[in-house]
Amino acid sequence: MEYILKTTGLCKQYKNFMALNGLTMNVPKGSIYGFIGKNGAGKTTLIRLVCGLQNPTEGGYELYGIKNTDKSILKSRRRIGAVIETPSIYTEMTAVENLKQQYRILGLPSFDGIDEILKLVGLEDTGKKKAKNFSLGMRQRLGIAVSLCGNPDFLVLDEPINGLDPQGIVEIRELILRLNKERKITVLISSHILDELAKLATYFGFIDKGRIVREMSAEELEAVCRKCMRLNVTDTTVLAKVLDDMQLEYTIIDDKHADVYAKPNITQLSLALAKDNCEVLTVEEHDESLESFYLSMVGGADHA
Amino acid sequence: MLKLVNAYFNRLFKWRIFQILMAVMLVMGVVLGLVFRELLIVYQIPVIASSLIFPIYIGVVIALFNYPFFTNGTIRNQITVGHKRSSVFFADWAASSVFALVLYLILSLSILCTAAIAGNSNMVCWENIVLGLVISSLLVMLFATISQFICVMLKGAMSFLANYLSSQILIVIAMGVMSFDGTPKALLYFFPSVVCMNINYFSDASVPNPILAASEGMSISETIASMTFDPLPAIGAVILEIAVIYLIGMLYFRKTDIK
Repeated sequence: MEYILKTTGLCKQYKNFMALNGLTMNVPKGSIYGFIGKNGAGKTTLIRLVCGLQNPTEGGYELYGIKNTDKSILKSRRRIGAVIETPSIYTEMTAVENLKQQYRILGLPSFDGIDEILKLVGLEDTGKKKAKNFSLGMRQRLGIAVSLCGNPDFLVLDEPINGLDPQGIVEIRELILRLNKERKITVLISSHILDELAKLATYFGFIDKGRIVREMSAEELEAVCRKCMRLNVTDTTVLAKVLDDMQLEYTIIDDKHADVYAKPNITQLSLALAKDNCEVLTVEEHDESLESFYLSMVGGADHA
Repeated sequence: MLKLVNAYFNRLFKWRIFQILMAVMLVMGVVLGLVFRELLIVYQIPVIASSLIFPIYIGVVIALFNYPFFTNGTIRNQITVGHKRSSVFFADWAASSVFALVLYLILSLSILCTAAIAGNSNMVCWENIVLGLVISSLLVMLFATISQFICVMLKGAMSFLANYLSSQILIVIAMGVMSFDGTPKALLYFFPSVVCMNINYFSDASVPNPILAASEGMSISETIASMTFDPLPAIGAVILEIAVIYLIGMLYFRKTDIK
């Protein structure tokens, strides 16, 4: 698998506070990498390091295969667009002027593409309205538009839906999905709003106390967080045979427990099991949300 | 780096506040030139402005120019896309210095031109006026460099207050040096206000220096008032001061964490 960003044992210390403590993560090319952690877990610090706003205390990272200590890292950064915490815009300028300013910073020879970017983020009709008069959602979209100048293929978004109303959240989500699908932009998105990330991300990195607790794909996460019936039976070997006959998907957990990913007819199932002297002791609906999965992992990290 | 300088200057010259300030400086210069046209001190107003008024004024307007870089985080847009920090610092310094310098030159030239047209300029030594203008312009650049360094260091609203206070403190230090008899001449070259004050702006040597005449009764050292300074070391000393502060600022900016 090709990775856009790889970090190795990344540490960042602010006076007496260790914001990142040996963080190792990998962002696959073409993915939407959801970076999940509570406030103060180190999400924004990592993003600041990757964007060159701060230097690591220890460890390092590779961007497009180039180490952060290498001089050519500056060239790699030209392929990045970032919105860190708040959108970086000139409030006394209009949307078009903001984009023109970023084009000048990038040294682009013409302003071609500005209309397209504004259309993409839904700000094509803002005219002479200055950014200071924009709503929070519009500012956020303008911040993303500025980060899209120069056609980056890696977009870093730090808490892009913070403070947005439900409609704003949907707009940003759709925009990110569109950028990923239509422009093949790899996205690193941090948030502590887990349900939103679950709707977007194709990869997840769970961060706690400056460390990655676990990295997994959306498929893996879905398997873990899938709704199922948890059966407690006297013999799971018999249960497996019966479930195979009924063509139901399941996972055997141990000798007594199994998860069934369907809602079987319990009477039929019990009768079938009873034929082979297997009893159903309890049945409960098991639904591990992303939230509870995250909390279970953070708890696990505490005990590590 | 040129791309960045171009972007900074573009923002500066399209900035409404800068355009308004340029107009204000022009009007103020013409009015001052007309009001004081009969007094010889009119030719020294630019020097007085550069030493007493502009440091405070520049501190505040440069803080205003730099404010969005750190408060709105627009400086992140430059570093994230791969510009060297030294390039960002240089572009910011260049724009801040030009910002201060343009305002100062508009004010100074409008005063001098108005006074020359409307008043009597027979006794004026234009060569020395230009020399005074060069040194005082460098002094304005020095204050711009100090103000930009403070803005980069404090990164936000605090820089307004810090710039205001630092300029006041520097003015007080310069006045203290002027009143102290024992300051070595070599050290005085590092105080452009003192150098500018001692330049004779008039072709007739018998004409008393209007600033010194006006400041009688104030505690200005007689030894310093009677000194003459060579222009080249004076210019060199200010450039050296600008360079040292610029380098300290850039080294700090290269290492500092940006949020």
